Amino acid sequence: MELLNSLSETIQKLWNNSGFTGGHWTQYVMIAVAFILFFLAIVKKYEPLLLVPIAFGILIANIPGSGVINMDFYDPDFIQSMGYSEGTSFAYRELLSTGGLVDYLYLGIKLGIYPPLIFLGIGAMTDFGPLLANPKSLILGAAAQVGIFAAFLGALALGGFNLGEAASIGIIGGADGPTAVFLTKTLAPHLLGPIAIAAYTYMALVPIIQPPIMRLLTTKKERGVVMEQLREVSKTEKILFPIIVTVVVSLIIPDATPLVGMLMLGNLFRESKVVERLKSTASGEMINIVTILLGVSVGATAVGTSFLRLRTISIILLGIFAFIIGTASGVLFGKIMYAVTKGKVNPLIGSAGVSAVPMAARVSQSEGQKANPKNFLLMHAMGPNVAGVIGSAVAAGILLALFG
Amino acid sequence: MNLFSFMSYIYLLSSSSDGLTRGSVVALAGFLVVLFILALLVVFITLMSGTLSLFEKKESKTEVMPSKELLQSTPEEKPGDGPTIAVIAAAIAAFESGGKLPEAPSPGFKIKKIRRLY
Repeated sequence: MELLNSLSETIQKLWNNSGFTGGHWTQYVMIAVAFILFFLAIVKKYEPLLLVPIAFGILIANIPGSGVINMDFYDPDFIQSMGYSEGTSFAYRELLSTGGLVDYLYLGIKLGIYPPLIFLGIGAMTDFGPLLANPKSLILGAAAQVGIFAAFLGALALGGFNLGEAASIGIIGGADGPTAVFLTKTLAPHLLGPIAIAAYTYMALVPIIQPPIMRLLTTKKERGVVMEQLREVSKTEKILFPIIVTVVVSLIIPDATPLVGMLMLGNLFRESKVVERLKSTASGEMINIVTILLGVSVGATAVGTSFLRLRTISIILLGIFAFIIGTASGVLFGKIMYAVTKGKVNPLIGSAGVSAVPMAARVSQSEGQKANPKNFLLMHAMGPNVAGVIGSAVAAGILLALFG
Repeated sequence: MNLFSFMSYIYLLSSSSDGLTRGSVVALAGFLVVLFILALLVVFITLMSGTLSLFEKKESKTEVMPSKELLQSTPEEKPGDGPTIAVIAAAIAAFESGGKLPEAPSPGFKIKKIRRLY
């Protein structure tokens, strides 16, 4: 009998310690969200490199009792209550004594380390040749940033968000995950989870979100425009470009230097052809490792109890609004270019200005080919696409300078 | 007044109004700055490409070393041109094989020239 009681007590203890008890309903909802993201990534193959680690981060952070991340370490009120001096960004004593793996991984976001490293890798992988061959496409990259400022205004109009929070929500419209993380960790760290998840999810959903807007705003004749072949870009131009961009942008917007500077450093590795090892590291294992760390950390911030709030729904809706406006403004600027050049520019390439490299450029290509099977817009769309990366980093720098 | 002083000025100008109005001014100014910076980059890139293309043209004009393919070709010959490329090529071939040099078509044709060209 005593043995049975002891066994029952042990089972009871194990049951009480398991994830089946003590869970909040929001955590189960978030686990369901993780499964949806797994479906999108694995079955639909939408940005699996990003969505798989993010979804897994959400999953492990929402298992009741797992406690893989303790966001209190980064909460300003908690930091103050622990007697830290003003301006301390995290409770490092508590983190060192009781923090776990994901708490440490999250430091890479909190200290703004991961986004510039991701940009270094992107720079090493990006060919700016199409942009150099057609510099006007930079304007399309700028045009697509209208979405950022429209969503910023939308958040203010909706109420309940301060300027920093509104700016962080707006940056979702840049369709650039690392930039969104970089800006939000400074302006609204408490919104990092919903903003990062919205940004990455919308990036993954580019092939679904963009085409209806593109078709709505253009005629079949415009979509069928075959653009002239791009000129060949010399090696010297490709080497000078990252240096010029770094100097110009950093002088005007110093806050954009970490992102733009690292993007251009990676590109200089690629184009100089003298540091092949550094280039292959930046564009290979390094960006892969940082993507894993960033994805898991971002996912782990989406703990149901703090994530599932009315504000999160507002953020998700404002994010898609930003994305739609960004795509629309890119296409409309493309239409202006179509008119100015007397039909030489296909307006579809404008939508690629929202970043999301190279997915947005592929969407331009597929839509152009639907209208005219002989149309090859991919390289033309890569110009605004990579310009969008620069544009969103510049926009983030401006918002940081104003509200940081 | 630099760009940020200008932005701060706009920000201060609108600070007395409500959040939305202030936001509108900031949003407009922010977008204009993005547009300005990227337009500036367009100018710089265009200038860079233009300048480089000028140099590239100059370089191609000063390209003097004939390629082996060119040496082996038979361009149109004009009377009084002196040793033609075809003759030089034949001379080189003969020189390489240790054979005799072909007869010079003009008095100025010397072995030294062949050596230098080769």
